[in-house]
Amino acid sequence: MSMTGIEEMRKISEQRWSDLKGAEKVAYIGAASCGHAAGIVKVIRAIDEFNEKNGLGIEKVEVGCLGMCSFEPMVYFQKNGKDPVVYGNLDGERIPTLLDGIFNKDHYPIEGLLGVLGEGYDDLPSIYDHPMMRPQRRIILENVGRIDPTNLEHYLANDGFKGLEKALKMDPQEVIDIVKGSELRGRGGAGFPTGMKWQFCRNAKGEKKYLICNADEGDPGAFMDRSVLEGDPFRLIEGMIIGAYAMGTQLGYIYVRKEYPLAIFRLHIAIRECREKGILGKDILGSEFDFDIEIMEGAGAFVCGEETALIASIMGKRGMPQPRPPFPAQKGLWGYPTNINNVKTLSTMPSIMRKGADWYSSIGTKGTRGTAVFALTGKLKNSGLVEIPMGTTLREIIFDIGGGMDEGKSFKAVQTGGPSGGCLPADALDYIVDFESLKDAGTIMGSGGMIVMDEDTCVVDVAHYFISFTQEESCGKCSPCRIGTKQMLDLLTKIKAGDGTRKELDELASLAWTIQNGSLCALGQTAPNPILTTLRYFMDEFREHVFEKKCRARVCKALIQYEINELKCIGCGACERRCPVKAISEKPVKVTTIKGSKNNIRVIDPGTCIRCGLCLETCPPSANAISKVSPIDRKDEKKQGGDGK
Amino acid sequence: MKITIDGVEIPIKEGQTILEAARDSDIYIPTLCAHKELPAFGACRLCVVKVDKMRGFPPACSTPATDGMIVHSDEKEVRKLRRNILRLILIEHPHSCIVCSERADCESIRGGPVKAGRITGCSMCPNRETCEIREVSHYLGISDMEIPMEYKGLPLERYDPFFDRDYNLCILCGRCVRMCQQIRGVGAIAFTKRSHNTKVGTIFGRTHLEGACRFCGACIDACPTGALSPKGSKWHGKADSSVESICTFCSMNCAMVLEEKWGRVMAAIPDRNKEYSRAYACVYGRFCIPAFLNDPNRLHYPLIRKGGRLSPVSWEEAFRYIGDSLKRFAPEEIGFLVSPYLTNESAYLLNKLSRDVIGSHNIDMISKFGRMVIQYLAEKGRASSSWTTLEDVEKADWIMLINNDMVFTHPGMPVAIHKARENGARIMIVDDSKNELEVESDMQVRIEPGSLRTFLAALTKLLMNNIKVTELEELDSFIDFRRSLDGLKLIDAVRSTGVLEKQFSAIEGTMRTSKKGVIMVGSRIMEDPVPTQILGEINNVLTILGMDRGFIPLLEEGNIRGIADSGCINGFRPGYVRDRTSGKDYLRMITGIRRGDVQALFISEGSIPPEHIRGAKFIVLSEIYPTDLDSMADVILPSAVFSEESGHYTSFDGRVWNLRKAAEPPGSALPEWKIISGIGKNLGGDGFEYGSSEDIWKEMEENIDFFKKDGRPPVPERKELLSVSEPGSIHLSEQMPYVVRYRGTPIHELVEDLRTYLEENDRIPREEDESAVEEAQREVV
Ligand SMILES: Cc1cc2nc3c(=O)[nH]c(=O)nc-3n(C[C@H](O)[C@H](O)[C@H](O)COP(=O)(O)O)c2cc1C
Ligand code: SF4
Ligand code: SF4
Ligand code: SF4
Ligand code: FES
Repeated sequence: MSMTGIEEMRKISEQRWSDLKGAEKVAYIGAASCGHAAGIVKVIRAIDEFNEKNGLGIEKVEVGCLGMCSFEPMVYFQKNGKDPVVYGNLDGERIPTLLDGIFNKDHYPIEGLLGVLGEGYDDLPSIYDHPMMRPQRRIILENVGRIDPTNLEHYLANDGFKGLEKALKMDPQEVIDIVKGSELRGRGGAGFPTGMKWQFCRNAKGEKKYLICNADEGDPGAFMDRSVLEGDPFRLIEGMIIGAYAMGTQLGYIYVRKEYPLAIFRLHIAIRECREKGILGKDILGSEFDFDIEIMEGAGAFVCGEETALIASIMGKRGMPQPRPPFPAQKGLWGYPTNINNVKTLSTMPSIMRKGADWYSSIGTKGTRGTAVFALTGKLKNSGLVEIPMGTTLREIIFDIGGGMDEGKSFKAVQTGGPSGGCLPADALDYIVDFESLKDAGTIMGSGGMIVMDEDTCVVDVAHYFISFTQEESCGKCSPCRIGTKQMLDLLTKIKAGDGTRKELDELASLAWTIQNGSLCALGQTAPNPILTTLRYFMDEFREHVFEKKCRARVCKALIQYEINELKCIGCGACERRCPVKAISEKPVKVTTIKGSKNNIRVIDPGTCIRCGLCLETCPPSANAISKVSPIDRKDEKKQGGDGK
Repeated sequence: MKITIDGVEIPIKEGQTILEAARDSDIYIPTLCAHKELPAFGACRLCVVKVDKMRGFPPACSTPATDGMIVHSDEKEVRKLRRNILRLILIEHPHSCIVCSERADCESIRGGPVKAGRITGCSMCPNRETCEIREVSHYLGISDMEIPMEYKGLPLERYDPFFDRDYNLCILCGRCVRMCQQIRGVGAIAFTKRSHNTKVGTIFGRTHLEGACRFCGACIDACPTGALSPKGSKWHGKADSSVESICTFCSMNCAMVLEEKWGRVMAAIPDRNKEYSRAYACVYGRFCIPAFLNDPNRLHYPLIRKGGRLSPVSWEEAFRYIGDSLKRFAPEEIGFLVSPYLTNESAYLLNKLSRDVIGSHNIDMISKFGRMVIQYLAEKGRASSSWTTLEDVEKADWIMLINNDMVFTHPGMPVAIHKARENGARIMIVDDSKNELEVESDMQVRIEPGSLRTFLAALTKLLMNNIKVTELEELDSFIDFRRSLDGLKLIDAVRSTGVLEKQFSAIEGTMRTSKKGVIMVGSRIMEDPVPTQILGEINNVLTILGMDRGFIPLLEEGNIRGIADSGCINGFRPGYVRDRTSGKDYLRMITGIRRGDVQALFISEGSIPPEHIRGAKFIVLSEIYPTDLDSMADVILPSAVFSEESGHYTSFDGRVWNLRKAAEPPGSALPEWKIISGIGKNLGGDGFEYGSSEDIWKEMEENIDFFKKDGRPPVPERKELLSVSEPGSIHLSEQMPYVVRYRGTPIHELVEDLRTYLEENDRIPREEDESAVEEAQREVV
């Protein structure tokens, strides 16, 4: 297809889009993985049923995820061409009343109503004024949740491929200059200036060159890239073509983990669509530039996100990092110059091309331009996917967007950068989000995972969790990472078990230094970060574990006990039946309370108890007799009580 | 260009890493995963250094040295980091031999390793003498370990032939894996699992025997620890002496270091210092030499048949007896059947003895394929020049492999082919049965048995269509050749070979891309009733392509090339000088015996079928082990083996190698040259007064142009075209697969593990089947 061809198509698309926007009855359905997990299928079925029964003629459009994950499943209803109204936390049973209200009675029920996807009207607030949305600035996520990700027309109608058209009219070097001018830094974690990276690859000599999109996304708790792939795959394709054109690449790969079937499915559709319309393949948009994209499914090893391991994996070898040099830009896939970028990095390109370098570099902070996409998870009120301008503080993200802690608990720590990042305490909440600032704080920006923890979290346990992750995911190649992380894990296990001493603490620090400086790839080099930050910010808690044998969050099993409060126990015996190791038995003697004497009171034998917590779960809420205690605390209490008397 | 390491300025070469530059200047940087023959891997991290203007601690093994670089290797933080890393490695590696405070005393008292079931401590590691971990620990001054060892507790892997594996000692340096995958091109082993569970292993945890392993032992020799250890030479500790020699089991003649202990060769280790053959050594050379040579059945004393019984005698008596006996026969009644494992010197003396002293021109080699090929080449005047070499193979742009089993006959050759492939060569297999190398090739063509001639003819025809051969048109043979091609229709060729037209043109197209190609052919073409026709048709192909070189016949026997060069081939004196008096070749000698024309034989190996020599009146047999011929021999002479004498060998491609003595022969066995000299002197011959084999070599170098330095004539242009045969299939005669042997004795007969390996791969009948085979044969007879 030629440039004029795409103009025509855009016109048609715009017409169709405005038809859709003007339609009488539309239901936009949040159908990303998060929606599916939350049960959107039942909601869809209910809508279909109601629609059919009442002959409403509601048109359905499946869209990506708006990012308000804690409100899934979500549907936005459009009536009479007005901006759709977003409803969250839906279930199938509520649908009839809801649809009846909206479409038959002209009444928007208040339950689950989140706002209008657009300006507010008729007393309905705009969703962009929702606390979770207001501080956001959506560039990469611009279309996500608004358009049907598999519909090329939707994308075209929303400025899709305009950036590419512009780029194709320029000299490739000009494109790179714009990227350089935008000061965009890679969003895969390390924050390397993208323009520079492209320049290396453009300058490298090779008969062929490759562009790889890294969609391996293996950090626990991260789903930014998945959302982009599921919600706006055309955007990534556009970004890749722009990059390919700038660097002179003929073939691109999207390396995506197999665990993302929906993303893979939608990518396949989008790629096929682009090939059919002449946006991929030979002579793209009549520019004489050829480029195509293939999808490679990874088996989901975290280390395969590392560039050289990723390349090895595409070549069918074991995903093991290689020493650099040679850098992928010199000798990458099949020995040819290769550039690897993250999904978000590439998905930013269409906007930069369209709006210019100056526009982009006006957003964010001096060192880090643009926006950051975070997958906000943990013990928060509002979890989800957010895009904020660089420079926003952690506090704003957690307390304004995230709505603070759930269930009235207090904030303890936030982890960014996944297993390669660090854990920051409340004191560090005023750090702003950008590459340098987070590095100063001891963590890294990473690719966008943000896990918020409350007082019930034990930092030693958190460090243990991340190290066990990196140890398991260590490819096993280099000795510091393979053996060192195992040693750290063993030390933490020891500390968690209450067997730690001063020596273990010192060893942790020394090991961390060795692994950081000795490892071959960034997986190993950053693996100690969770330990180093927790040691730096939460030394008290480590000391408590080591010297007082106490876990204040009551997480480390060896340092807690379960206890039955005699006064509260109603003697139902539910806990005794549930206990897998028969640690609970009846107290042989009667217990006398103010209300009289009771039989059948249960007690737990701490020697037999394995701290599984099943009894606590089982005890009827009316009794609520079982609690988790730290034996040390109790000793202190007794002492204090005694003194008081 | 230069860099500075710890204040010392050293020169660097373009493309060198810091480590390579340091090693060239004898600066030690500790390493465990780096290996001279392998690309940098960067796994052990012991080679970390500090470099001015570079972040962190780059590894010396993979960091390129650039002019003016300032490197710190012996610096506090670097030492600390290395020490910490080595301690981590030692957590997983039994290390009591390193940190024991009694180490020095203990080692001075205790001679060798002590056998034990499982290696957990100092006394049991077979690798103690060569352990690189000990070396590195010593350099880094590790003398204690605070963290306790974590023994992995993996099961010992002892169920395979030739070598044991104890991955509890493995430090995952990956050298074995890289050797096997990248150098040998086999990939029998790989990393399995992840994290601290990472382990080197085979596909689905199969045994090596069931898997792809070719038992070359390259992994063992690359391993810096005792994780991999050869069963046969695991426990003898450090050798008393060692010499640089070669393996003589096949015509590749890999360079080997023969290790001697207690007067015997105990191990043969591929010579890593020899550029030429260090990477090729295979199961035969690496594992079979000691067991094969040291069998107690070796012949110890000369034997003479007296009154029907063989009795030991002195050498003098034996020589006298042979001399007296031979004098009873006319020269042309005496025949010499020469073992292709003798040294060049011995062969030269045999030529002298038969042609000059006795005056018999009945001399030929005991061999099938090799004799056919060399005779053919000698007749064509091509045997005297240098042949296509291993280097040509490695640098080839295409390689065609025809009807061969090189994985078993020349296991080193696939290594060169792999290297060529890594450099971009296209490998084409043309075979009428399964070829083990199929997975390592780019094109596999399975032709119908008996259609090889047709295949070559069709290929020739296609080439002729696309190449101008104006020069060749002047040849006398051209018209007939052309006419024979005209009679061939491609469609018929497709039908009888089973090769598709597009396969033909893909092969033809590839061959036309470059003159740097190689055609290799194996002994399975002997199934053809006229194998020289195939050689001729291959010659057609090369001639049309305009290639002087590029033909490699996979000669089997260790020194077949050398003994032909030295005059033990019918019709040619040393250096392929035409023998003016004609004599009988092997086959005519056999018929001669039957007819009574040939009555006395000097045979230097016992591999000839007894029925071939039945009827001879006087038989002298020189050999190393008893054979089937013993019952017919009148004199049996115990000969030394290649590790017990000095001399020269010539490999298949014409390279001359030094054989060096590593041990004494058993009993009174003598090197062959001494035996021949003894006989010669007793027959009154002159010129047998040699002090050493070196004297003979000098004589050869002086007297024969061929053996002078640069004495070989250049490769003649190919100027011959042979009419191709009619299309269709040839009736093939069945052949037993070639089994590697030495002086007539198949190696596997004395090496149990080799028997297991060859049985598993159907190269030899299984032991239980063998009696059945014999039974069947007896019935046929
Ligand atoms: C262990 C490890 C895992 C990684 N995982 C990812 C990933 O899942 N996605 C990603 O984009 N980058 C990942 N990276 C970073 C990439 O190696 C690489 O730096 C990035 O893809 C470059 O893209 P950018 O320049 O756009 O940031 C990972 C790095 C390491 C060391
Ligand atoms: S640091 Fe870890 S993941 Fe990276 S190469 Fe080393 S062992 Fe593999
Ligand atoms: S013996 Fe040779 S083929 Fe077998 S695993 Fe070792 S290197 Fe590979
Ligand atoms: S077996 Fe030896 S060579 Fe192979 S990885 Fe282990 S230590 Fe290295
Ligand atoms: S020798 Fe450099 S990392 Fe092992």
